[in-house]
Amino acid sequence: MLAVYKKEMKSYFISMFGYAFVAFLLAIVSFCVYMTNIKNASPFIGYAFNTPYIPIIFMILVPMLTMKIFADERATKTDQILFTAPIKVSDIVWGKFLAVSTVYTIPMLVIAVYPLVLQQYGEVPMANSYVALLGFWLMGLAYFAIGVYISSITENQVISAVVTFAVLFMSFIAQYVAKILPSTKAAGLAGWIVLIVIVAIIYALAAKSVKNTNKIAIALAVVGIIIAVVLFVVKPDIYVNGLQNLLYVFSLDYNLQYFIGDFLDIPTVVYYLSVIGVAVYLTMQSINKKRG
Amino acid sequence: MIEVKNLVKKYGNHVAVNNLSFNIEKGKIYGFLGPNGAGKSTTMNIITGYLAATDGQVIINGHDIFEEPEEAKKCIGYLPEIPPLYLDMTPREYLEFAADLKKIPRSERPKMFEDVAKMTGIVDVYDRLIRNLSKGYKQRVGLAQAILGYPEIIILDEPTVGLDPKQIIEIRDVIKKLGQKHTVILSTHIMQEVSAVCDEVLIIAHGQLVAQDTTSNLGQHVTGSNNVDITVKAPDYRVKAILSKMNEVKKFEIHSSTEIECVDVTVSTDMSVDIRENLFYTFAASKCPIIKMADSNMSLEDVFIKVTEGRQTDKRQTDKKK
Repeated sequence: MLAVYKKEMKSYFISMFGYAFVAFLLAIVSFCVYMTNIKNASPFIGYAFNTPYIPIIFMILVPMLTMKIFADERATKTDQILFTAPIKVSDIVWGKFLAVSTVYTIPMLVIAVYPLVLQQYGEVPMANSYVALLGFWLMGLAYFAIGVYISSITENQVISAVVTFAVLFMSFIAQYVAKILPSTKAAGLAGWIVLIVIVAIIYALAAKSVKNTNKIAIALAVVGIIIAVVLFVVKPDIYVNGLQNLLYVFSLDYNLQYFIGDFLDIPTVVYYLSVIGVAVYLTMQSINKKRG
Repeated sequence: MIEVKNLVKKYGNHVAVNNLSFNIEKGKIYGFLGPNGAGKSTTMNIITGYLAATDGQVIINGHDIFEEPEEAKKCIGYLPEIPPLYLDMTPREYLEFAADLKKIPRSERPKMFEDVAKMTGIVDVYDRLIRNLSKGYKQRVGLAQAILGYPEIIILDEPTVGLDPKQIIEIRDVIKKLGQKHTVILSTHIMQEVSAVCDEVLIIAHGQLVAQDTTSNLGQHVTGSNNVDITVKAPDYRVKAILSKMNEVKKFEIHSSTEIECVDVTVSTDMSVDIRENLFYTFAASKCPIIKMADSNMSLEDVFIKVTEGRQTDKRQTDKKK
C-alpha cells in the first residue's frame, strides 16, 4: 500500500495538480470564511462551510485530483506493473485513495487554524467549530472516494472528469429536487422501488466475480420490492416524505448541516464513512471486473 | 515451474485462448511463438496475473495464480508488450517504485539497482526523465524492472521490438545470461531470435498449442524424419542402386541438378539416425563423389508456417463442416 501511496503523492507534487488544488481550495474556503465570519463578525466557522459555493467547488476540484488516478493507468498500460506486482488490489485502491485524501487534508490543516485566528477577536464556539471542520473533512473524503470510483470505470480522463462532475452535480441538486417532488406515501414507495432496481443494476454491472450475477441481481430486486410493498401495506407511515428522505441520502452536501452548530452527529459520521467504504469497494470490484 | 492446465479465455464470443495446456521447466529459455492474434500476450497476461481466465488453472512454483496471487506473483518478473513506464519518473525513481512494489529489502537495493542498470545498459540515462528516452531505452528500463529482485521466472513479451540491431544483440546476450539462473519465457515474431536464444519453443495458433520441442528437434518433429540433401557426381541409376542397398534409408528423391553430370538427392531416414558419415563412405567406395551435402530439415520459419497454417486450414475445414 505504501509503495502506491508514495508514488501517487510524488506524482501529485511533481505536476502542478497538487499545488493548484491546495491553493484553489484554500482560496475559496478562505473567501467563504471572510464573507461569513470576518465581514459579518460572526464567530462560528461552520456557517462558512454550509454555503452553496462549497459543493460547487468540490464539483470542479474533485475531478481535478481523481480523473487520472485509474483512468490514466489503464490508458498508458502502467496498470500492468501494479496488477502483476505481489500486492493486493485493495492495497492499490487504498494507497491511491489515501494519497488523494492526504492532498485534500493539507489545506484542511491550514483551515483548522482559522478558528484560532478568529478567537483573537472574541468568543468562538471551539468544539462546534472543530465538529463542523470534521464534518467538512469527511464530506470531502466522500466526494473524493466517488471520484476515485468513477476514474476506475473508464480509461479516458476526460470522461472520468465529466462523469464525476455530473454525479457530484446530481448529488448537489438532489436536495433541491426533493423540495419540488410530492411527499405522499405512494411517491415514497415509488422512490424506493426505483432505488432497489438501480442497486440491482449496479450490482449486476459491478460484481462479475460471482457466478449467476444476473439471476442474483433479479432475485435481489424482486425480494427488495416485495419487502417494500409489504411494508407499505403493513406500516405505510414510514413512507411519508419517503422520496425526500431518499434524495437527501444522496446529497452529501445536505447532510453536512448535521455537523453545523450541533455536537458530533454519529449517524452522519457513519453515513460519510459508509459512502467512502462503498465507493472503495465498488472501485475494487470494477478493477476486478476489468481484469476478468 | 509453471503448469498451465486447460486455460480458456473468452472475450465475449471471441475465444482468445482455447484449452491451452503446457509445462515450463526450470532453468531454460522458452520461445513463445505464434502469428498475430494467436493469444500469446493474453496467455502471458494471465500467467502473470494481470488478467483473469475464463477457465483453467495456472500454477507457478506450486502457487495457483488465481488462489494465491501474491505468492505466485513474487516468483515472476514481467515485461509486457508496452513497457508499463511512468513517464514523469526517472529510471532511478521507477526502479525504486518497482522495488517498493516487489518489497525488496532496502539494504539490498543499491547493489541490485547498480547491477540491473549495468546489465540492461541504462546507466547513462539513469537520471533522465523516462518521457525523454528513446524507444530502445524505454524498453531497457522496462526490462530492468522485470529483472529487479531476480525473480525465478522472467516473462518478456517481445523484448526486442523497436531496438536497433546492436541493441538487439545486447538484449539477447542479457536474456541468455538470465537464462543461466532463471527460467525465461519470451514471445517474439523473429525466428532468428528463437534460434539464437531459446532452448525450447512453444508454438501457439488460435489459442492452442500446436508444437512444443527443443529448437533443434522441432524441424524433425514436424516432418517426422531426418533429411539430408546431397549432390552426387554420378548418373541417377547408380545413385538409385547405391541408396536402395542402404538399410537406414527410408525414402529418397532424385532431382536434376544445376551441376553438370550430377544429380541432387534428398535422403530421408528415421529421426534418430544420422546417416551423413555413412553416405560419405558408401558413395566414396562406389567412386561416386559427393559434391555437396547439407542438412535439409525444415528451418524454424518453415515449421512455424507449416504448423500454424495447418491449424488454420484444419479450422476452416471444421468450420465448413459445422
